[in-house]
Amino acid sequence: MALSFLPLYGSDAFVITKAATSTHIFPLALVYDDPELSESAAGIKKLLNSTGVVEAVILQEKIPTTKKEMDAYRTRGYSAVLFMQPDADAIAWRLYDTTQSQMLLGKKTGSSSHSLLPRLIADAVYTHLFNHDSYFFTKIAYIKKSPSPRHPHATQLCVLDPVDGSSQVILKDPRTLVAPQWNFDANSPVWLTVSEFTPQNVRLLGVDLLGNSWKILDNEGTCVGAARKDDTSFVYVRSGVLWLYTFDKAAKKGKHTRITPKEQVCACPSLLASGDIIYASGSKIYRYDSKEKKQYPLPIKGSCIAPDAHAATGRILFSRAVNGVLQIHTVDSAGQHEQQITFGPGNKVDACWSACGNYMVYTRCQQGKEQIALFNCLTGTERILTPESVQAGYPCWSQKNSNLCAI
Amino acid sequence: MLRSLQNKSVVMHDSAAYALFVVAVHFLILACLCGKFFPAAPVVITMPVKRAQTVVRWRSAAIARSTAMVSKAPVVEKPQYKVKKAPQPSPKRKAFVGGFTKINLGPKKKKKKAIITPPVVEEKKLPPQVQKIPEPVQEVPVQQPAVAQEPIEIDLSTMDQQELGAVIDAVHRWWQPPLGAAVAARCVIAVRLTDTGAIQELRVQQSSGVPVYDIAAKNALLKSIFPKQVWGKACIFQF
Repeated sequence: MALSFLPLYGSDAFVITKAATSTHIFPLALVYDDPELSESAAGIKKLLNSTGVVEAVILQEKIPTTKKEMDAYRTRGYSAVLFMQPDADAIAWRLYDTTQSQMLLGKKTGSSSHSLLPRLIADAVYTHLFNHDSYFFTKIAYIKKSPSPRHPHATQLCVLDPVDGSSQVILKDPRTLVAPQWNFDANSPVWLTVSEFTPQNVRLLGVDLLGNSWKILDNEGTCVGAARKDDTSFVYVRSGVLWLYTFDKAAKKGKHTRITPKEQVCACPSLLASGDIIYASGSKIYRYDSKEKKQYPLPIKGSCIAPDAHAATGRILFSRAVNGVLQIHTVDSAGQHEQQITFGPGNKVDACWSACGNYMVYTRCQQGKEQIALFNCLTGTERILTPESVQAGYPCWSQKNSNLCAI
Repeated sequence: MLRSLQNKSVVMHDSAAYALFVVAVHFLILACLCGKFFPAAPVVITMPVKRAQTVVRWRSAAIARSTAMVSKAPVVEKPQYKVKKAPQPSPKRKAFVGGFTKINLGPKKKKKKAIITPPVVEEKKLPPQVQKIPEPVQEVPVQQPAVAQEPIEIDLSTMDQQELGAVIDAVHRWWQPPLGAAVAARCVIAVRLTDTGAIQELRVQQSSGVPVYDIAAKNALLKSIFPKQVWGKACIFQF
């Protein structure tokens, strides 16, 4: 007979408070019996462990059939278990909660590319367990300096995998490229915008993953920094002034609207979910209210540069000098609850959020070397993604897109 | 040299006599064993009656003395039992002692054994019992006890701060919020404990929306050792 319990809220419940900082890594067991799955299991383990919040362990043993055998996993210290079995060209897997021996998720995953199977399974498991997207289907775009005697300012637009740091060159340019940004629309699933320095101006280019480039804005002045608003509009900075570009599909015409005054020099625009724009001007961080059509500085002390806003959470990253070293800080969209994220030597600039908001990438400058670093905000650990021999900067983290891993 | 020879002769004289003595002893022993130097027929020794009587007298005197001693002791009522007479011994009794027979020591009086027979109890005949036909029992539906229907609630208002703290500390000791869960995550779990403090039932009443968070909360409850104040009761925990 089921018992009726007390109401959920009020003074009748024991309230267990959380500690100020969480340190517990989720233990997960990967169980399979068929040796053919060893490679896939190793790939899943690598992906999940790279997040820093899951500790995946491989157990090649017989899959249990009774509840008693399932309870044994809990006594062995595993909070969840992922069982895998081969099924033709696919993998049938089931995720179990060991506290109550109940299945959380079960699927049959197949792919034309065998190398994508671990990513698909790891992404499904991680997304279900943590209720937010993983970064297994994301890429980080950055600019690599590749000077040559003939082209001393040559650069390359590259993308790298945040899991293993493998890099791929998208565009080679004899000129200087800066500030790549990811853009997604229905016509072309994945493409980027990048600013190219020419002898006459700094123009805005569009580049797809195959390396094809086209001109977006080739006007007088400098176009550096573009933030996509929606499929038909984006915000950019031209000669220090913030502009909004919208494209009218019916009329097939584009329209430029100035947002900030001409005398105000702005840089690094990024957008919140509400449509408000966050950007740097002078040594302050400003917020432009898209409804009221007004801008106001955020109440942040000190000289702040290179802000980046996370659309979902509203948190803003920026760099500010602490004891002569540029460190990454974060505030909310109102400029409150400031928190220093990074410490230690080396200037950190051009920070960019991941899609989930738990990680960030930035350029780390130390002793003349510029490298791309990935910072895990949950564990406070830093991981260098590019080698010392490569001068790299201007990182930009993409949204989740399965087409990105087909590169 | 001469002394040694003399000694030898003395020794030889002594040794010869000794040898003869040893041989004689052995011969005697063998003869005893074979019984050749003893008469074949045993000597019949008949005890004179006088002697037997004197033996009897001695025995009776001893008995008289013992009875006299007993008479001085407090009289103990002997149980009134019928004593059966012991069977009379045979007139002749042959005793056998190491090969000898027919040594008549007289009629041997056997000790009288007290044979105790239980008293005769008259069996009473019981009147024949009349078997009663049981009346049919009316079927009454079993009603559930009222206590089981009532929820076993724990009234926190009756617990003092120390008791509340003990329960919370028991769970907080094992509570490990997982990395990666949202800061604002919250879940409510109801637990029913047995009379010995074990978890009988565990139910998530409100999920946090993050499975790792709910699993971590359930793990904390499963590992906790609850104080006696909440044994046999239902508790709600908010993480």
